[in-house]
Parts: sequence; C-alpha cells; structure tokens
Amino acid sequence: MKAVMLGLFLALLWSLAPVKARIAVAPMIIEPEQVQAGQVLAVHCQNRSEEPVEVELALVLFDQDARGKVVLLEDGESVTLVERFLSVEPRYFVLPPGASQEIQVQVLENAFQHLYAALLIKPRQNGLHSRLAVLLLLSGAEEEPALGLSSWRRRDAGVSLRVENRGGRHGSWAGELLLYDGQGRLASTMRVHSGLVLPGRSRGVRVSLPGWVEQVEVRSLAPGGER
Amino acid sequence: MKKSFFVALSLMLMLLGAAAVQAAAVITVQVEILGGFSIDCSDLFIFGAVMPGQSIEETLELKVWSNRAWDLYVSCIGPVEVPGTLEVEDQRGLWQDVASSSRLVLWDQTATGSEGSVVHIPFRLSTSYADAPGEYEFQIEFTVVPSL
Repeated sequence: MKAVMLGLFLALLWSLAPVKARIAVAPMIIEPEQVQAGQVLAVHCQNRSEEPVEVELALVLFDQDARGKVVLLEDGESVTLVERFLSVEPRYFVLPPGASQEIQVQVLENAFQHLYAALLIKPRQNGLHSRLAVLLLLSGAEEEPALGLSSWRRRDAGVSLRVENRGGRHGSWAGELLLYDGQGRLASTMRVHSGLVLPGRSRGVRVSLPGWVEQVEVRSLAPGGER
Repeated sequence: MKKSFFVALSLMLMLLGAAAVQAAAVITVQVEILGGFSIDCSDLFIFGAVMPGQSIEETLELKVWSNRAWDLYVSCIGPVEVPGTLEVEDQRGLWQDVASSSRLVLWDQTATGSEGSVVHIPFRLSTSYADAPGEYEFQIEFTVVPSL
C-alpha cells in the first residue's frame, strides 16, 4: 500500500514537473531586396527538446530607439497594421521531438515605403516563458537609405558619434577615425560601423580610443555619408 | 604487327590520360548557413517567503545559442499583478522596474559558439505593508532579438 502511495505521489510530481521546451529558429533577420505582393518568406523552426512542443506565432511591428535597439510594438493598433500587409501560416503547431516546421510569412500587399515587423515565435511551456523574435526588414523597390553623421564629439577616452538615416530604407553607415599623436602626425586609422539604422531614425555609436591619441578626425566611407 | 602494337599503346595512353583527368576533377560545393538562435530557461523561479518592507534577490540562469549578435528583453506577462516592485538588473548593473514595461537587459551579445552562452539575470522583489499577505504567482517572459 505504501509503495502504491509512493508511486502515485511520484507520478503526480512527474505530471506537475515543468516541460522544458527548446526550439531553434532560423533565420534571425529577413531582408528581401524588392518585396512583391504574394511573396512568401520562410522561417524554419525545430524542436530541440525531448518532448512535443506547442508553438504559437504572432506578428508585431518594431521600431528602433536612440541606442539602435529594437522596440517591439505589441499594441493592438500595431498588430492590426502589420496584419494588413503580412500573414503567417501556421499560427499554431505542435512539433514532435527533433521535428521541423517551415513557417510561411506572406506579403499580402506591398503598398508601403518600408515595413519593419517581427515574427514572435513562442513555445508554450510551464514555468518561465521565452520568445524568439525574427526581424523582417521590408522596403519598396524605389527606396534607398541616406545615412550621414549628424554629430560627433570626443568624450573621456572615446568618441561618441550619432548616425542619422534620412532615406526611405534601412542601411548602415561606415566611417573611419583618423587618429593623431602628440606631434600632430596621423598615427593610425580605425574603422567604425553604425549597425543598421531605420529610416527617419538615428543611433549612437561609442568607440574607445587608445591613450596616446591627441586629436581625432572622422571621415564617412559609406555612400550618402557626409563629412 | 608493329602497327597494331602502336595502336594498342596509343589507346592505353588515352585511357590513362582520361583516368588522370577524372582523378583531378574538382567539385564546387555551396552552402548557406542561416543566422539562427535558441533559448533555454530554468524550469521555475521561486523567491520564497518575504516579509513586508523587505527586498529579496534571486538570480535566474538562461542559456542562449546564436550565431550572430543578440539582445535579451524581459517583461512580465499575464493577468496577475506583481506584488511590490519587481526589478531586473541590466548589464550596466542598473536595476529597472520590469512590471511596467519590457526591459532590455543584455545587448550586443556576441555569437555564442556551439556550446551556447550561459547568462545570469538578477531579479529583485521589494515588498511593503501595502501588499496583502498571500501567495502570488506571476509570469516572466524573455525575448531574444537579433541586434541590428
């Protein structure tokens, strides 16, 4: 009787134990050149755990803050807007251990200059929750980025730069720091990359400098950049 | 006889030549490795019992796999309101209120390699006498986002 009770107790504990659901997703960023209505963008999802996993999907918009970081816009208005342009299939699926599923994001219409959306992939699980956000960077065929250095200044042991995108498409800025020593000689150069900047947004970039640097100049290398 | 010998020799040389060409054949292989990611959370996160007016800290362990740079966000979800103040410590060491909105806690994390990267996220719950006694359960959600 004792053994049966112990068995039942262990079975109860087992049933209450949280299910670990680990999925792997690729790609992380989708950036098609020219988006057409009807175009399908594929995302692959694989179950890397030893139990079946239920997976839920959602589409939201995203923006970029002054540090260049993604800001997910999950309010009702943003969701309604993104679903006017994109659909996802399937919305929900169950993956056996080791199995894969292709998720299809379809462009319903391309009447936009640019659309920055995130596909949120969430395994249903007990305990803590996790999501993987695949970023979709979509822009019309005619759009181009226009990146420039809006400001820069030397501060402490580094240089702070601000890169602005005045164009209609995302892009990244590349530049070069010219480093002069105490005798005013150009002693070294340093490449700088801004990372992606969304249209109408700017982002800060901070670069640490070697201690011997006395004077700095910044030169843009990217097309559309300004000195 | 001499003629047939030379014909046979020529054929043998041609066959050897063809074999040599085949042995030197080179095949170009193309493959595209996609950017990919994955996350593994601990099962449960328990603060335990706490007195009113007391703060309690717990650190949560996560593992992330990614072959490109990534950021990690934390938010509170679900219908249950968080008692007191729940804060999360970001990579600068600053505590941020996580109950009100999604917070960026790790950023510009480099590709993890095949073993993945174990990260520790400290949480702090501060209670007051405004919080009624009882057991509370709320949910925390982690979102991995590729760095732009």
